[in-house]
Amino acid sequence: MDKNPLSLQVNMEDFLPATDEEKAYMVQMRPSSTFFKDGCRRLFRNRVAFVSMIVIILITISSIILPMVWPYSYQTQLGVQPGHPVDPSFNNLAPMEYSTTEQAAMSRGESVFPHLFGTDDHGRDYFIRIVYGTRISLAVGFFASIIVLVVGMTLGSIAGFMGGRVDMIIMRIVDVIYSLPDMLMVILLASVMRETLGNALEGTVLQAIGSNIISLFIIFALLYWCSMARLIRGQILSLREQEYVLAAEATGAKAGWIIKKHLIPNCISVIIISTALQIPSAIFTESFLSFLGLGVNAPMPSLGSLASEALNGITSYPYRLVIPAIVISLIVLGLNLFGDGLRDAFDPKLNQ
Amino acid sequence: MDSKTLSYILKRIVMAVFTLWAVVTITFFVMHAVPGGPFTREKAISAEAQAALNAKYGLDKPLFEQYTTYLADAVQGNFGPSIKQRGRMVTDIILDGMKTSARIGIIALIIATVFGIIFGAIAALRRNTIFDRIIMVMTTAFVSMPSFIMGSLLLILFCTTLGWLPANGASKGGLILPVITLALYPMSYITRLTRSSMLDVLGQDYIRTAKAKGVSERNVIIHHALKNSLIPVITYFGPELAYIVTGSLVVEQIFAVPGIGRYFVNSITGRDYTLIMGTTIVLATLIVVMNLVSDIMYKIVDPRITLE
Amino acid sequence: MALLEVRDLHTSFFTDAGEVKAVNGVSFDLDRGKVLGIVGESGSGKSVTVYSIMQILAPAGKIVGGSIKFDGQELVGAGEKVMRDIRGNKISIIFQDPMTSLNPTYTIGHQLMEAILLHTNRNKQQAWDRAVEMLKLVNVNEPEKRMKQYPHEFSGGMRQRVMIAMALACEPDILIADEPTTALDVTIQAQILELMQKLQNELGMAIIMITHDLGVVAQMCDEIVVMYAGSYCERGTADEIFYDPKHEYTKGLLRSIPTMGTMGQKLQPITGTPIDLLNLPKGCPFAPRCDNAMKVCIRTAPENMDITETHKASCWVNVQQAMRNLGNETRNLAKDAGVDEDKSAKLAATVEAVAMHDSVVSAEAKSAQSEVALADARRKAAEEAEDVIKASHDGDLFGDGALLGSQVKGKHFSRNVMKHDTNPQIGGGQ
Repeated sequence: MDKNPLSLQVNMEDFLPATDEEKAYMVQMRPSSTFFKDGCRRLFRNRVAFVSMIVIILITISSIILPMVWPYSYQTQLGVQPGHPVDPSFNNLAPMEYSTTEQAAMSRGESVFPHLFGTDDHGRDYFIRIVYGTRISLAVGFFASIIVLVVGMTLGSIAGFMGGRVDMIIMRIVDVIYSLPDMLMVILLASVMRETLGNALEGTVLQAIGSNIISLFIIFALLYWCSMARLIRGQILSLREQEYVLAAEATGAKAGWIIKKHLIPNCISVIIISTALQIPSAIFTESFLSFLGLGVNAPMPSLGSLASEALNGITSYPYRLVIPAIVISLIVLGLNLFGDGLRDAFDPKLNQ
Repeated sequence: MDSKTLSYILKRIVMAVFTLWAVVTITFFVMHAVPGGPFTREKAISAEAQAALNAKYGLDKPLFEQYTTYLADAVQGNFGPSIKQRGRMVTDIILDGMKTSARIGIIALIIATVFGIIFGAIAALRRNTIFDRIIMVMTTAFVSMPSFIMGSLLLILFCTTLGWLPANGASKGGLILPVITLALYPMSYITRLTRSSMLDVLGQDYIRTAKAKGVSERNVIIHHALKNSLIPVITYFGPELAYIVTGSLVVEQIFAVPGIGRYFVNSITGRDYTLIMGTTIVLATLIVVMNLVSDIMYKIVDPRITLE
Repeated sequence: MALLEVRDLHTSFFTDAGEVKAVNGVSFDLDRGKVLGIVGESGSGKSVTVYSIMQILAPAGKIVGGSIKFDGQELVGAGEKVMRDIRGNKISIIFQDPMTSLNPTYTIGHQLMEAILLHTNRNKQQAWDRAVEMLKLVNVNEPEKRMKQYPHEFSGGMRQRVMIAMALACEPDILIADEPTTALDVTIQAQILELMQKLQNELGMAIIMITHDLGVVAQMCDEIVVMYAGSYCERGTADEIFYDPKHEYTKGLLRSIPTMGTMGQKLQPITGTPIDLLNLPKGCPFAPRCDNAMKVCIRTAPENMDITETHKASCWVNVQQAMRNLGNETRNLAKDAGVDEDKSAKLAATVEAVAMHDSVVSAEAKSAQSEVALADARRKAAEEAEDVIKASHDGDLFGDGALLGSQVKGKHFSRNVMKHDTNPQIGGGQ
């Protein structure tokens, strides 16, 4: 107590009542944000999902752009020119190797674009075939998932809204399809459709896409819509419950508005996640079928069919198998990780 | 076992039978929808010879009659003679193929389950250590690679490059690679499943209770956590077998294994109707039955679900 | 020496969002055979305090400061072996939710016998007998039959009895009850409390009862500790707390209880919401909601003041009151000594001011001192907890949901998952 009792160091104000502003200042609560912002924040913080997303985007972009700028086409057999004898020097080049014809051209001063992955046994540039195969796989995966989404949402909504017997019938069908051994059915249907559809599509605009791809889409539409339908139906059912509760105490219009507010975050995030996870599954199935020879038509390459072709020459040209293998794995892995990241970020049930 | 569980089991059995019937029917009609018969591809068969062959195999009768005849026979286990492999009964072909395929499949199943559980438990207990990281990276890789990729890569590595193992499944030691290829995906899946489930269990209240009673860390895991963690693994058994069945289709192609999977694929391209039907039915039955067993076990093993 | 002495306990959870300071400076004593109640809202740190005592915190939780002495032995930093000997044996705990606290795949007989076999020298048969004896003690009928049953075959109240039986099987010195009746019906609540009182009379163990229900506290407890936002507010005997509360929070709590006398009047809740433990401010944590908050409350955490030997509180209002008393005393002394009215008043005011100022300075100094030591301990604990932080980050480096559920072959698993999704009744509690 060696201070001058009258010094100005004594703070008499300390024991005066605190104002409301001072109290509020003490409490700085974390700013609440919307569900969407929260989810995005979580998603981008997840390094693995973020990297996967980048990888997938890069692959997708290159599969779209590269064929446009690449000097070689996926189906041109380089040694085959109408009117000339077949030049076999183009076949089976190793990565970065030049054929004798090309070397001769280069020594004359012409510039020849290198074959980054060499050529296959028909003289086609392998790199661009891989890129094209990626494009096909991605496209098939994507569109197949959209189809599944549409079919599943439609049937699921019908089941959910109509209820009663319609609901029961649809759910029974779902149960049966669910318990079918899918791979067996897929193979069967694929091999059958390949024959029948080929004839049916002749002359129509769809022939360009290829009967096999169409048949793939049909198969997906037939077999894989079940999970989506169940999800949607579940959402609708739980929302109907809420609707009755709300209707009891509020006017009809208000109930509808509230449902929309709750419907959007729950339903849409579930739909997006489910679709995102369906894509790698579709790509997987497509490459599997292509490998067995039931996928896309030649000469259009798919990563699966490229791998299958490469199996024959596996002892001499192992890289021809390794490359599509790595690409498929990257795509499937990347999409899976990204989808998982999406689910972690946006799934309302997984709140910590 | 109480009546609720019994009725559930009965319902599932009925469903299973219905599913099998659906599979058979779909396969039958789909197959016959393909234009041309099994003999159209073969060269140099005159029209009369074709007609005679068709009559011999009953292919000239109306479709529905063929269907009912077939059903009646199939239920008794008679799948008829193979159309392509003259002189052999489908049943014999299937049994032949099953021997090899079953051997590969069962060994792969055991390896996958046992090692999967072990690795999964290690990963969960040593969470975020180097063990966990390695295990997670490897399982991630294996789980996203289609089996044909895996098989092909293994083929390149061990047969072509290293020359340690033969590429042909029929030769000695030729079954090692197919088994490994088949086992890799389910093993990785089970590892992750076990890990995930165990981590889930370790966060449960009753684990805290056990710890609060003074049980040592090790015993908490072995005694309390493990049992509960294995429930999802048990229920995966059905799909696991389904995977092995379908996986064998691919593996047998790659490694030239004379198993039922290869017959299935070849019979489709060769349009050997009876063989297609036979193999489809057998494989489908396997899968459906295992799923049924799996579903039932799920109900039994988790006492909470049984009573809910 | 008290059976249990907790001094200035600090416990934090290290999450990837930051350090959650769950317990900040709690102290209390527990004597043999007494019942201590810990009262507070949800999130006030009551459970964390007792989990710290038994060291059964989640991996992300660490004791960063303070001491816990059980029967003279220091528990903080004592190591697993020591703690394992104490858990279930000398100190037992029963939890809030008996449904999830029992392992669903073992019979309750098995679970009862586990602790007995672990801590005592009985063989299997003796352990069985002891378990049956315990079941009888907690009024579970047909004990032999019950031993072979599974937890889901019991009702909520009975499960809690089983938990109590399990906890008391090895005759512990202390029984900790973490909100034992919160998850139960009101009528069952009364039964359980009655049972606990009866057991306490018969067996003579000390009880720490955690609850947010003041009625329970009034019924059972000898002494009470009031907690808020991880800090301790006040402690004393039941009479002292109920009839002479000295902390604004306690006063608010008691005021909010509707009684016969206040019938017809508006209910008086405590306004505001609990504080965010991630961003714990510097002063008294209750200040934002306190009607009588002063500027010093916002700035500095109040010191713990002795009101009587058993009654202590951390509230500036008491300090203010004490200083005022000091001022009055001074004025009276001055007047008695013949100093005139005016001068006495001035002198009194000065003395008051200086004393208040000193107490503020001393509180600030104390908190600064402890902050330094705590900061160091927190940093070390955070480093240790890093693995756990990483692990808590979305659970998984490589995510399991997609890889397990999405692929065609994983359909079955996702099918079961979906059963849970669309039909929440199936598939165990969430």
